[in-house]
Amino acid sequence: MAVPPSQTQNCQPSLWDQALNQLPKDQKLALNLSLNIQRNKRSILDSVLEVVNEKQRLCLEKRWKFKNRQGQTIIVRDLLDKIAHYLQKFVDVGDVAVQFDPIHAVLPWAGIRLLLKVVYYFQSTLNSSY
Amino acid sequence: MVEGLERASKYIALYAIYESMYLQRDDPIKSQLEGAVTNLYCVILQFLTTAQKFYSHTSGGLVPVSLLSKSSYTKFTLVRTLKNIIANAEKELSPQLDAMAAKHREVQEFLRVIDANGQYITLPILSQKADMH
Repeated sequence: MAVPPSQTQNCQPSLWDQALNQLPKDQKLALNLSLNIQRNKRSILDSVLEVVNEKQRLCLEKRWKFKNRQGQTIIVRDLLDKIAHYLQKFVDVGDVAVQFDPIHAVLPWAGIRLLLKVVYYFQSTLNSSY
Repeated sequence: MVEGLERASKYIALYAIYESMYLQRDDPIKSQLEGAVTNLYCVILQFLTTAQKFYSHTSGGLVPVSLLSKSSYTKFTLVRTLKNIIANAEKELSPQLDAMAAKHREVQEFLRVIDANGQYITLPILSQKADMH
């Protein structure tokens, strides 16, 4: 029996899953283990926004900034504002376009959440040491 | 690295829009476009893995030092170590950021071809796209 086109499309792995499969085995394992996204995929997006908002508040209090490779002064809070904006846009796409399921793309967001937590540690340790 | 995270976030959100605009329809170059997007996603995941390797593994060992130590020498050593980690990470991550930008440009070329062929795009998604720029 022929499978309807909509069903065959749903069976295809998402492009993020395909990209994950192209990674070397060790990197793939490291991502899967550290991000632990097998459960509660939907809650990851909320949790990323929570982390970004928390770091925004801290950056506002501490007024963190740094110089980038080009020597420009970068205000960390501005970057976090942009990340929050992009995350919101990403969530909106899932609401507007019914064909796009944002759950497929939670893997990179989980990575960004993890790194934001680590960046906070580095920044706070460096600043408190002076 | 925050700059890299900002760029990766931008691409993740922007490509969610592109996927719903360009990859839900049949197009002669759809499979090539999918390949190019997958390559970009691969570079983003590699960037995240590399950043995580540099920052997460080292910070775990350094937290107790920063909490316990009161001596200025240990603090000086800690700051020096952190600065070294950041310098090494930036050295390792900057080619990946460049690769991310290069893959993004490759996809843009495909999108230009599709736009030139006159794809029909739904208006709500177009407004999301315009807001990203």
